[in-house]
Amino acid sequence: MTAGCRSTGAALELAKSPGKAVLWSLPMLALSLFMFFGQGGIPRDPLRAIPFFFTLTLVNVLFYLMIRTGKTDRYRAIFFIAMAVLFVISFLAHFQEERGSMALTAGEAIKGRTPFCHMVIPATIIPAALSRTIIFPGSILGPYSIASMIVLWLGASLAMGRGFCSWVCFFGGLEDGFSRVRRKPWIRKIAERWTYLPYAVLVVVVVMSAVLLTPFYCEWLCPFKTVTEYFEVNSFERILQAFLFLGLFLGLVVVLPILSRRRTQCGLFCPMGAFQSFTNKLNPFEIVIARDQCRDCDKCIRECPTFSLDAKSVSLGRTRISCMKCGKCVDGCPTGAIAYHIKGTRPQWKPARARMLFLYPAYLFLTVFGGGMIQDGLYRILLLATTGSMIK
Amino acid sequence: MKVIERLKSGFGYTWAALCIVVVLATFLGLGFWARTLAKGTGIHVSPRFSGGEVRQVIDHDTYQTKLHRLVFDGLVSDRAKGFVQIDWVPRKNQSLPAIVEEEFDIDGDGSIEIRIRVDTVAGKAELLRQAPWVLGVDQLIAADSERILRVQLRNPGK
Repeated sequence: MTAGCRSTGAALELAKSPGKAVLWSLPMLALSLFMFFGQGGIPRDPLRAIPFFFTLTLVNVLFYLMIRTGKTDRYRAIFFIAMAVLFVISFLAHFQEERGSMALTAGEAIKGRTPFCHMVIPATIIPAALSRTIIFPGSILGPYSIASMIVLWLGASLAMGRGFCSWVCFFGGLEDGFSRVRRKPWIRKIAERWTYLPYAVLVVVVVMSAVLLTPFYCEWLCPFKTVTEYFEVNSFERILQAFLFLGLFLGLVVVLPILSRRRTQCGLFCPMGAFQSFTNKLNPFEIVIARDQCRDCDKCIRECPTFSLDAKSVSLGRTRISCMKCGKCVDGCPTGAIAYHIKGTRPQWKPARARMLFLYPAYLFLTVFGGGMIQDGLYRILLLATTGSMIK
Repeated sequence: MKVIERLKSGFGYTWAALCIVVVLATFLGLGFWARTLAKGTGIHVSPRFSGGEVRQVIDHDTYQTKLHRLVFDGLVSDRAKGFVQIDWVPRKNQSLPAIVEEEFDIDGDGSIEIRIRVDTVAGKAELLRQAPWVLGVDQLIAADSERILRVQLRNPGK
């Protein structure tokens, strides 16, 4: 094998053999069947059964294509973006059904019915450590509960580190989608110093949450409040918050990703992402660059959606700590110098095997976690098409 | 050298393979892990959100009144200001009276600190009598068919 196609070589071998690609896809088919059918079997309602089978087919076709073509990010992104969009549809329809509104009222909050999302986790650390209390108006156990989300986050972090942000986070797909709208970026250069901003935001969020004993990020900084639930707007403070949420969403999730082709919220703002970066140290998977194959064309630096590659890191043959393992650089490297790697093994040692070992846990997590969201989102769309309403 | 390299490599692959087990265990045992986490760490929702533990339940014909403990909880010590929460919960298939008027010994010292009048229809609450360290009504919240009142307090011990 030539040095130039070392990282994609094994994948190309698979591409030459559809049979081998099918064989590699079979474990995922078995696991997805097991997980899908294990969640209550085939739905009796046809409006639910159609999304069930469609999603099951989609996840397996996309996985097969990942194996067959050797491209990771291209097919990951389809699933990831679909998950984010359908999550929003599912979430909003669900709360319209339950509450009759997107707004989180004081009554809902005091009853502990606020769904806990992973973005709150950094804010809760200090109070949880010092007083064993979670500063969030949710419930410890039950649906959308605090303990369940923490367990899911722990499992994902152990399995893929900051890969969480590209394979699990149901918000990340929104800006991933917007970052792919234009073929070429208008904003080409973003100063490196901005990539440290998420760590500053993380410190502010952790400290302010501990001082105020409220989830500061949720109350003031979360762009995704715009498309999920927001506090009932009934005071000047709430109006201000709503404007902040909307501004951050439009700026960081819509406009800047379109103009820069980068995931600017994730790479330049998200405190959860900054926090998640540290979990890359607890995880066996990483992205490495073979210096002997690298032509220093800087394509990877220009295209990394999360600013996780720069000249220094490329010269060292690795990514920065913020790498989300989306695979875009691996797919796009013209010399195949960039590859998934398992810590402890020799650099560039069997990269296709390392990729497969990463893909199984990452894609399985995406399948089980995102599959339900995709199913429910599609169900809501079918419900709208057949009954004129997304809610029952 | 080769042995160490092989050991490191074997460890790396084992660690990577275990990640699949971690994902399966996460989903298949989600309820168990969540309960274990909650029980093992003893985490609970901050009383600033939940209102704190119910200290006293007063039964009435058509409803119950639940008096919570005083909440001054801070990060490491009590805060100078806090609140007490009172819930009025209708019994099954019953509704709350239009006007509820009750008095409470909120700190359990045997004397009445507050007397409250709540208009459950209009959603208004009024303090008719209050101890000096009772600052006023914070908010009256409608949650389902319940009415939940928070009364602001100054910490008498601070």
